[in-house]
Amino acid sequence: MNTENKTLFTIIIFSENMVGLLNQITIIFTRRQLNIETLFVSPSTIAGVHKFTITTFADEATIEKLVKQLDKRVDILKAYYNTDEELAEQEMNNILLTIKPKSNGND
Amino acid sequence: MDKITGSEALLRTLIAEGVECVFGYPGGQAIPIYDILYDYKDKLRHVLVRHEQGATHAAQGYARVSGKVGVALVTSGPGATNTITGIADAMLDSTPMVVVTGQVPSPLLGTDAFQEVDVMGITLPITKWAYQVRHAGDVAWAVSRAFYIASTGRPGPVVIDVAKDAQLELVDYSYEPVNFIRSYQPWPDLNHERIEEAAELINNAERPFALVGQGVTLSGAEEELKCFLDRADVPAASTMLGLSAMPSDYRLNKGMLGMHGNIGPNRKTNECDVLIAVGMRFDDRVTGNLNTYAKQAKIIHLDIDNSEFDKNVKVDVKVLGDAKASLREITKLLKPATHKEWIASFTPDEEEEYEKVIKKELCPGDAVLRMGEVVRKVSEATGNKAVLVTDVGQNQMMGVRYFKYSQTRSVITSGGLGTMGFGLPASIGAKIGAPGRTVCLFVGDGGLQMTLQELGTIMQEKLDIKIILLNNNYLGMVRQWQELFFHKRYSCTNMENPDFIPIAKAFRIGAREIWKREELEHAIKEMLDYEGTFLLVAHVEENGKVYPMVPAGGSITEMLY
Ligand SMILES: Cc1ncc(C[n+]2csc(CCOP(=O)(O)OP(=O)(O)O)c2C)c(N)n1
Ligand SMILES: [Mg+2]
Repeated sequence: MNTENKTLFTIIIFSENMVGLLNQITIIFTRRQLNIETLFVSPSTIAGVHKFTITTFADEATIEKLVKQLDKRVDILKAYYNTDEELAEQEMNNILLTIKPKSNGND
Repeated sequence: MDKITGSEALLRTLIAEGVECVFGYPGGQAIPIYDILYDYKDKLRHVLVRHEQGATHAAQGYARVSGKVGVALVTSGPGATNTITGIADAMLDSTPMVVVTGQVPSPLLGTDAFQEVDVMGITLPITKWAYQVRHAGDVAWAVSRAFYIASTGRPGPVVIDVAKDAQLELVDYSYEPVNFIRSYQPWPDLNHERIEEAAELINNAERPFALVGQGVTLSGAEEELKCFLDRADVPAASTMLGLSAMPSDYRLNKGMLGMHGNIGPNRKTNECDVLIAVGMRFDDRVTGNLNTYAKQAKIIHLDIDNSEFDKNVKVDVKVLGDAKASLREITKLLKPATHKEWIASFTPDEEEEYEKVIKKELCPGDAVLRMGEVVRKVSEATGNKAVLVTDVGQNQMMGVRYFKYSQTRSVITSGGLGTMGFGLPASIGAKIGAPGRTVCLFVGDGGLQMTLQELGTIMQEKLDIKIILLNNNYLGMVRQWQELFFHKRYSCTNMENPDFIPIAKAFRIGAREIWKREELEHAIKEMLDYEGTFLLVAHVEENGKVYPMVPAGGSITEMLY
């Protein structure tokens, strides 16, 4: 893939542990013709909540739309993105502490 | 507690969710459900369609006219794959629908068993939610969750794939309605800052203009919309799916947007100073070329789906929430205003459209029937009170343009997917969902033949649907593009059609065909007076075109007519 003018974004997703979730997630990448560079899935510290860490090359406008599409899926608790690994890590820890019913995205 | 089978649990849960009617077709992996249905005949109406695609479109028609969730029930494999078009259609048009598919027994899953298909894999991209049930104990929960998801927030289709062993397994049944999912927020809380920003923009606007989408109907916000528009004196126009959220004769209703919309609304989109989009999604058929779309305007977008903001059009104020609540709150902050001159500025465009387009459709100088005049005459003969169902193509555009609406939920048409073959089965669902209303279907010769077999369903259910076939012996809309953009090379769009009258007769449906204007009024009266379904075949101009037209990708101000 041509990665010129593109940034490597890290997308973090917290989801319910439902069969087919990875499928739901990858479909959304495929539709926007985004290649997944790396993918890491693990249980989170909350029972029944799974965490996906995905990196992909894209421009920010595309990533914003992608993350909203992800966040919209019924069984996804929260999806967000960052360019900076450390920040992502930090925010992830916060989320783990405060995870509660999905915020409504009204900002 | 007595144990019941998963199949019975399914039917009891459907009934508990308020379902009165299911559109379906049986088969090997759904037989246990159908067997129990035999005992529930008096509690749950089952409409036997003639093809599973018809079950989904009928469920859509039912949902769109009634606001309730439409339900389809089919078997595995080919039964399930036949529903795909309807599911995709419901996804794009935000129609609440639950599709229950039978599935092979769970031990056989993944073995290429007879009539096994990966329903989850196929339907995930085109559903709001899809779930496979492998234990009878999951049935009540999954089905109730399906209804909650399908009907709340931005509605959409849900698939529940039930393995045959789960249908047969015994379970202690208990039903608890699902009304909370922690990862799902269907009714976002309003953000008052955004409400205030929106109100302030509107209060200071000189040329405000509102775009009304189906979100208004889905949220039941017709009254709130009217209060909002009246108070700030804002002219408005609808997307195709938003039609009938405002009555046609409402003083601030300026018509339809988009490719085949009205001249005024398209031009004014690029002249207004504040554009207020309510429950619409800036589809490319509405916006045309985005680089020239409403660049001069401040844009306020009201939507319940966060992912619609900035998707196609960058907006200035995002009001996330249910249209009913958002409109009500904004209206509270509006100062009464009048925009006389601005509203009057629509009139020259309306006059121009009448002279150059509408007059030619309604009172053409020659003897050949036009689609537009047939549609308008039918509409008037019903007192503009009927439900309009259309197929796709010229018949659809002429249908929505020339029909008139006096009640909400009066337009049932395939918007986002543009599915030919939608019309006939959707009209079945519409009639069952609104038995007290006259249902008029306008359909083309191509589209009618895509789902023609549903005449059998109409016959068996003894329905009363008024079918108007606008027969031009062409795949007219494609022919129109070939004429305008492909040098009149009419490749594969001419149709040699059957004699439709004996076909109707074979299904014991009343029928008549007409060629001349003099026959029109009488034929419409005969059709409307007829007890039961009637097919009126109107032979219309073969090379008719739908105007005005914004060529695909063109600017909305550059309409052909
Ligand atoms: C299932 C499907 N196949 C193909 C098309 C492409 N298409 C759009 S309009 C049209 C022509 C429709 O012809 P007809 O039903 O006779 O209606 P008319 O335009 O003549 O009124 C076609 C082929 C479609 N929308 N849907
Ligand atoms: Mg035709």
